[in-house]
Amino acid sequence: MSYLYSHDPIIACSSGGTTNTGIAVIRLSGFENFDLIQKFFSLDFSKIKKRYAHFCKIIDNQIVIDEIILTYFEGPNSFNGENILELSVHGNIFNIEKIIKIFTEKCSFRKAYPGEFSYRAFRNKKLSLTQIEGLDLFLNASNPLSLKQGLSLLSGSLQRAYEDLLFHFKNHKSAIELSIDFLDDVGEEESNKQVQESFLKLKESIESLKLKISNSSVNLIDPEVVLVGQPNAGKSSLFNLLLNERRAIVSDIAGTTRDFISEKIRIEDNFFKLIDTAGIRKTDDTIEEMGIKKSYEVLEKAFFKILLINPYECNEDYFSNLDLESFDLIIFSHSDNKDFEAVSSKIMSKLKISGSIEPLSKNGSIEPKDSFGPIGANTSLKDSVLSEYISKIINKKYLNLSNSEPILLSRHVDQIKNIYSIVLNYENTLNNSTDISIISSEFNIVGHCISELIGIVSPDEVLHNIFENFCIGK
Amino acid sequence: MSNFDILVVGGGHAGIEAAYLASQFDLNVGIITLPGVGLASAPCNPSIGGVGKGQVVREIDALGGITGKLADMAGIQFRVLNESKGYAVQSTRVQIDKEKYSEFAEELISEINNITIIREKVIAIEFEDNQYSVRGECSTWNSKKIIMTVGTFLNGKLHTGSTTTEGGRSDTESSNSLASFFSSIKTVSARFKTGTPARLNKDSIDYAVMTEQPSDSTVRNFHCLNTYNTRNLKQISCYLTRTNETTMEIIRENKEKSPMFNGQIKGVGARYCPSIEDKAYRYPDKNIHHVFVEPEGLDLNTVYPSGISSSLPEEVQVDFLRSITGLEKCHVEQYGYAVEYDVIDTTQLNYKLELESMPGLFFAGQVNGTSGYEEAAGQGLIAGINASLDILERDSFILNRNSSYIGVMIEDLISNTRDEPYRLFTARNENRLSVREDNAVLRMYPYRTSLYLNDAIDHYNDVFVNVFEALIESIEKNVVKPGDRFLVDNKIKIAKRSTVSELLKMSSLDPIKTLEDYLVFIGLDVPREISRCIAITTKYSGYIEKASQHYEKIRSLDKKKVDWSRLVSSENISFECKQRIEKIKPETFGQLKLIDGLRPATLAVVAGM
Repeated sequence: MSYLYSHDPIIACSSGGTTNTGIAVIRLSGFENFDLIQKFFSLDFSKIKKRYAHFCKIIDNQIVIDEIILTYFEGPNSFNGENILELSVHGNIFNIEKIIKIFTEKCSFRKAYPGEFSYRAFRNKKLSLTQIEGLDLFLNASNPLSLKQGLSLLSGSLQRAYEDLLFHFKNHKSAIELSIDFLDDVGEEESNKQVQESFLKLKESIESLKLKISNSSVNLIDPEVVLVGQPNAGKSSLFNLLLNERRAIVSDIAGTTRDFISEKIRIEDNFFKLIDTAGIRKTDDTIEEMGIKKSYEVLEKAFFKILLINPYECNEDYFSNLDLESFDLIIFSHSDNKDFEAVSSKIMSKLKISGSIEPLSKNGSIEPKDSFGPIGANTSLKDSVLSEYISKIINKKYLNLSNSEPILLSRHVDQIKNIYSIVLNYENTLNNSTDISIISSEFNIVGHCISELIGIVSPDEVLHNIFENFCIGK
Repeated sequence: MSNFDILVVGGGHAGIEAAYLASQFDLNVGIITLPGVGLASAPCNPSIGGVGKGQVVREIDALGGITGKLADMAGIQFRVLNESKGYAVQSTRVQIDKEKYSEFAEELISEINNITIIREKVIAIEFEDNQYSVRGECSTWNSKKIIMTVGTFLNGKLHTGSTTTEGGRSDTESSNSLASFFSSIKTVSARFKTGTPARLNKDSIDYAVMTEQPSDSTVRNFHCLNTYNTRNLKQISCYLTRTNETTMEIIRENKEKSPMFNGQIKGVGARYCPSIEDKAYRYPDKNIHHVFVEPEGLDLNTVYPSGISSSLPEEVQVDFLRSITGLEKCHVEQYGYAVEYDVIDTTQLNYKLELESMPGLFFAGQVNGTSGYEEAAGQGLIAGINASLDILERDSFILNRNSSYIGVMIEDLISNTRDEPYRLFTARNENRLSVREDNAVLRMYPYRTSLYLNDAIDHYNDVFVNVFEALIESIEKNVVKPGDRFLVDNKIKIAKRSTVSELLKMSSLDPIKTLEDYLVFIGLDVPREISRCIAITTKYSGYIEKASQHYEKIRSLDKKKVDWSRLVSSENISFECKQRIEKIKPETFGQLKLIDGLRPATLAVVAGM
């Protein structure tokens, strides 16, 4: 933790310096003057213009290391309040390393810890706690949704939703205090009524916040579209169909799903990760069980779930572990086979899938027959292109959820879930205990959690976590 | 000219408590009070204790104070408030015979050789040659320390209807002459206001139509050396009646005659203690308000109708009083009035209640903007002990807010300028489960022993703590099994063997009765108050543990040092917040948090610094 209190001059590469890029930005921060660093630059610092791009050379032992663009921000009017030199250098990782080494070995700079630039901004009161969280999201935004949320945190509109929670919290707290300190004044009946009524309001408020974290496990920052089905149900065909149309430039990113085939696709302005799971089914094989467990995890986290069923090769056992209601779309494949409608109807009634079958296309081998969840049944699908149809409903669900202001920050999501479960525990105490001092003590715990969410009292630990996850400034 | 170590100006509840404690250090103590006024008089509600306040009285008692003793001696009706709400928030309240209370105070204080009671009006106070010189109308005294406990007598002004008189309360003069001395001390800009209801002739009331509240003979006395529940005086009842539509209509019709609403009174009253006018105008839909008819004494012919304090003109008071059930024929002995007075800005005081800018000058009681005899006494105790320790050149006496109501009050007072009279509510305490009446001795023990005094109370405290520790340890070890005679005899059913502690935590059992029964069963005679304290402590232990884990996180942040001068120069903190910070000069994050009106954003910025 000691670096949290240090004022050492620090240096870091904003792109991390681990991959080759065209241009990399190296920042030097926290130096008092140019005395020590002057000799490494061809530019005369006594003539430097603030916030102005200068072309110059980095020199070490009379050897030119690189030609760079240099900008100087003088504290306190800089991002983090300290003197900052920003060097745009050529982005070869060896070049970056070499330049950083000059300053760490021949000057008093040390490499910055992850998030240290922003921490210093916070420490120098350039940013508030919630602003830093907003900035984190803003900078790491992979799609317009997180961009919007980042901005809304910065402007405090989300905070207002939290203040509503705080408001009802205060009301309930007041009701408890009323029944202790003023029992003689208001009477037993009235004070009990106040306690009960204010609690219901509070519970409503936390429930609506919980709704905003939209099924909590659904990840909206990096939304995943998951394809599930038995072998030969048509997963690969659908995967390729969707991919061919909308493959994104960005390639696969690492994560829990690396064991599955996954690709990024773009639908309008939004990016989704398309995942083809290993077939989920019952098994006695322990090694395969691991993979299946993972499939369930992916499925649970998924933003959009598609189930493919081949009505001609359908093993009912397979479905016993699946919650059919949770799927956004169920597709019956192989519609060009004999008696398709009759065969799929039979399967539908067996699996208790409600809704009507409407043939989508006369030709293709994959036919969406019905949909569950947020997408209405009986959508008219005739003659529309299959991939177009699926893309549209994926994007529609995404926009619906994002418009209801879901809460993205993992700290907030965790905290809201935590508050919710503590509130439920508390409700139990409230209903079963006649001792108001116990009730009030338990409720104080709810209060602490709420204050942590809103950042009134943020333990050092929480702060530390934020700075750890916050890797680049500005 | 007499010389004192400590001179207490004012003989009210704060004054006598300060003197009583100081006398235990063998110092030469004087109390100066106005001629013709008894010590520790009760000009307002004739009762001691109540929610939160009962805890204070027991803390005072465990620290060697006098208030608990006097309340027991003069008590005429004992009750436990919040009896249905759980042990931690239960508080003792004693209706006192106010005449006898004052007489007993006079008796106990005069018995003490090193306290001199002086009855003279103070004209001037000066500081020279490292000591204070106090001039009365006839004599002058020197003293090393001064404790000011002048109540509502700073520029006191009395109002009944349009009649205004000078005075701290009915029938007494206000200490106006002292005002010049106070001119150098900052007072709170708004004047405070307090009021009392009319006093009624007790024989003019029809008690039969009211709800009787008899004295509860099982309630434990305040003073720990007194037998558990033996009463000194005859016990009588209080009565409950209610206002009605007619009452409130009369008050509403006469709004322009009320000094509070026609602008004659500018002082700020306490929101928690509204006059009947307040209730009438602020809650136009509510006509039923409780009126507690409380006797003022066994021999006095007056009762105190609590809940209807008023400064309306006399004829209006009679009108609305006679509209209340049971008071139709009531006769008014003394009319209700409101008092306006100045209070000092307590942020100028330190933890010892000493004025920072004038060492040796202490303030305690209502002059500090508090309300209530118990709050006053608690401050008197702190000032009295610290003035003594200063003379003896010993470490200051500071109670922690985590373990006492007095500690909460002192910290609240010196951290903030009050904008209304301060009263201790249990809500101000963060550790309600562990700061209770039953464990006051345990909580105060380390503080009292730090004074190195050797009185009867110290022996009592030693025994209490020893027995508590020994017994709580053994009930954690002692085991009962299904089928044991103790369980069968008391019809207690358990599924598996468990310790006595575990038994006490069972929600189906009354922990106090279960432990008492168990002690009888094993033939161990333990003082009732100790077994009660053990039972309640055990019952709450799990909850206290859970809460303290949550507090730990917060407390570590509270202890964090903050540099207030840096905060004041910060650009991220609003001007208003800066002003407040500059005034209080908080040293820790915990103190910063207590400052009124600081915005969450400011705290977030500071928390991250």
